[in-house]
Amino acid sequence: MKAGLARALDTAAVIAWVIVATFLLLQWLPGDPAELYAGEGATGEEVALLRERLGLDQPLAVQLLRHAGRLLRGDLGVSLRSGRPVRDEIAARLPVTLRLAAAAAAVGAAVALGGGVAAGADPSGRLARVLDWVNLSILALPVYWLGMIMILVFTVRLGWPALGGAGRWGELFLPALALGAHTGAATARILAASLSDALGAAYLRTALGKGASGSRALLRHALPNALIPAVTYFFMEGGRLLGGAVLTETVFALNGIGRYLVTSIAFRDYPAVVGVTCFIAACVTLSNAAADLLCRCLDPRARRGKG
Amino acid sequence: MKTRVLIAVVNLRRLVAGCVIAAVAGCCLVFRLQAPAQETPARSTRQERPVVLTVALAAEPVRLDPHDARDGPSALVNFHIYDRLLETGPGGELVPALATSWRLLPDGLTYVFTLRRGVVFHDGEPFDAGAVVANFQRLLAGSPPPARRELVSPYVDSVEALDPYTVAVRLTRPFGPFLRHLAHESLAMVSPRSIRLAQAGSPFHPSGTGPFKLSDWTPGDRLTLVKHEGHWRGEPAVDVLEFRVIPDGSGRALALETGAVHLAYPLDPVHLVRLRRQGRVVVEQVPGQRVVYAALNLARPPLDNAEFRRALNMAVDREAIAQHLLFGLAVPLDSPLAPATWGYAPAIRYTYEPLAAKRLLAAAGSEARRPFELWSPSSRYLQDKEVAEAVAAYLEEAGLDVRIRLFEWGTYLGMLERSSAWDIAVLGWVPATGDADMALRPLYYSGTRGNHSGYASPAVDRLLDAAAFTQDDERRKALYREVQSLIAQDAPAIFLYAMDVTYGRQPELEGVVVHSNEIIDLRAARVRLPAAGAGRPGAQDGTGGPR
Repeated sequence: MKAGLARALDTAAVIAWVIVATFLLLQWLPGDPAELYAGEGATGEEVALLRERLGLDQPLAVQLLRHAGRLLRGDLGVSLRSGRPVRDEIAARLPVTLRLAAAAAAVGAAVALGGGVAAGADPSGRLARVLDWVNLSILALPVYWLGMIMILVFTVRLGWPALGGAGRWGELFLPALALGAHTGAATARILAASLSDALGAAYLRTALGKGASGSRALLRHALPNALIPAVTYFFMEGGRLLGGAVLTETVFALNGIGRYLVTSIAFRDYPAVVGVTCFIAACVTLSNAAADLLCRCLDPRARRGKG
Repeated sequence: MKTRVLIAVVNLRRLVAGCVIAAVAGCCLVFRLQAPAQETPARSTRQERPVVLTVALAAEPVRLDPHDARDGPSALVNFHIYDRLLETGPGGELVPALATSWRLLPDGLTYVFTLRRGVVFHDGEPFDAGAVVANFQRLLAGSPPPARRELVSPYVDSVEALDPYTVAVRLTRPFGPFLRHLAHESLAMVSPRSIRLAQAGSPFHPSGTGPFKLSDWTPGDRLTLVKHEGHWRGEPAVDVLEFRVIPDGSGRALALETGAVHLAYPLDPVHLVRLRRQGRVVVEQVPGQRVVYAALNLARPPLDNAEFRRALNMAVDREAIAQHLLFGLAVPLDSPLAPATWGYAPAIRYTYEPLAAKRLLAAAGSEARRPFELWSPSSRYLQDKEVAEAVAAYLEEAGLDVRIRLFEWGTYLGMLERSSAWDIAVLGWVPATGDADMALRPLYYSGTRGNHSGYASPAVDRLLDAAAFTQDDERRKALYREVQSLIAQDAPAIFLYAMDVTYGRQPELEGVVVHSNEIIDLRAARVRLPAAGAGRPGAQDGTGGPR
């Protein structure tokens, strides 16, 4: 209970810090939104007028406090660029990002579990070496490139649906594969390593000595222990997936949070950038908290100790 | 002991492999089945299918309030939702639209417009003199002041309804480009009800008299317009106009290639060349009004010396840049104006003379031996980074020490505004009204914000004013001819090239009109239905066309 409270406070502190840092970094960036929106041909007077309309003529501290006050009331503010509430802008793009993250996580989990267990169970075998090679290749390929090649092969040549924009499930297959393969390959390597460690551990010998079958020893005794670092890593990645896979969204023309963030930065849309960063920070911290929780379920010591 | 584990592992391996295969197969099945399943309701008989025209744009419109929008995508979409009193034809001539005729009274200040009868806004409000007056009043004194008011407010004194279909607009002084300002996309006629609501503080409701009306807008993804039945020009041939946002240039090209969209704009030169070679889609280029130039900072010697600046113009092979870096999608400039701009006259064609340039630059002495800062945005204009590098290389060839700095656009604008540490800055400009005044005044009139060079020539200022504040078109053209040669002579910039407007479309899309000010006019567009069974890969499962 107490631990939960501390955790919540931690989370809040991280998010608050992220907001302040984002806000200040944005201000530090050269480039004035009013100038960007007014365009190259606008007169100085028009720019000043626009600055006033956007509230950018106020001192930095006032702007920051105003923004923080709004955030506390759960109001993400209004996009400078479109004039629409940032909350609506995020909400419009969230389904795409959520679906992409879910699909990519599913692909990633399948790759990680399958590849990790197969390679980790027999670390010196031929299969392990092939899998290791495959995983490394996937990791070495930039998502951007992988996505392009996938589009060229599957969409241009074979006519599969992609480039959906709205992100219907069918259109998400390729982007999820490109994105999930990466997460999966990285996690599979971690899982394989910790699984082969676990196979040499004393407790496994005990389990086998007590007459447990090979697969039971592997799946019931070794795997849960080996999963802990993999799960932690996977969930950290998961937070990032939710925060928007910018490159994947760009290649596959998906209208998600990540792409919105990039556009907003380009246009110095302060409220939008702060709003999205805030959201991503929340996703990452929550995802980490979920990883902790899951590890506690997997690790009996953590369960008993803290109860 | 280890062997027992290994035996189990062999069994397990089969299990895992089986699971993976099953999972992948399942995924494929689900994903493949799901996509067409969503389309089935629309798949009825051919006649009932609405004709959808899908367009891929690089950026999303910012706002659908023409008086308050400044960006290209908004102008393009608003062009289809709203009508203007008059329009510029593809050749730059003025043609009637909501005003059927107009005349200038002998006082030289008052324009009288006769309005089209029987026109209705999308929200049912009638279009009449009252609506025109309401629009002008918003532009002149609306609150909050709309961004585009500078197109009318300095020039218009009063607007009056003479009768329900006649309006008189009185100017403060004779202003030559006035009718071209009225033809600008942003001086469109908005429903008086939308204006009243906006003034009262509620969000803007887009309602015009144009051939299409707003149906749906998913921010960042797509914007759908449907045809406005009973438009005065006649009903459009397509039922739905869908704009999709695909910021990535490769993504846009691929969307066109796979048949996911009918039209993609703009197309990056690299893809354009490839698509043209493949020949499956139609790639077109139309002379545009966007000029790209390298402004010279006149405050930093030796750039204050006109002789030196002229030598810089001779040092750069703009022909090669246009041909090889822009793949022939640009024409070298021989004036500060693009040939497509009204009032253009060839001034000086600086030819590429590397040896003469080198000699002239060396003549500037020790001042010319300092390092020169060349700044350029990256990814703002087509191939801007490459062009900046080429210009730097030519100048180095001519004996200068040039250092390139590339910026992201937002940073670039801020840096140019704040810092004067640059010598050469790559910039672009497209005059939205298509008139020489809009092309020259913001860049070369002394003291204007877009005049980054700090160029100040009393003669140019005087000529620009004289040309703007007269209504005699022949006299205006003569004055602009003079201004162009003066500016070219003074060379406050290295005049590089004028960009073509380039786009790609499916062969079955017809009737697209492209204006030199980067408006793609789809009002008369038609989509030919492909012959049965001959559809393109993506074209078979759409609702009335490619998706």
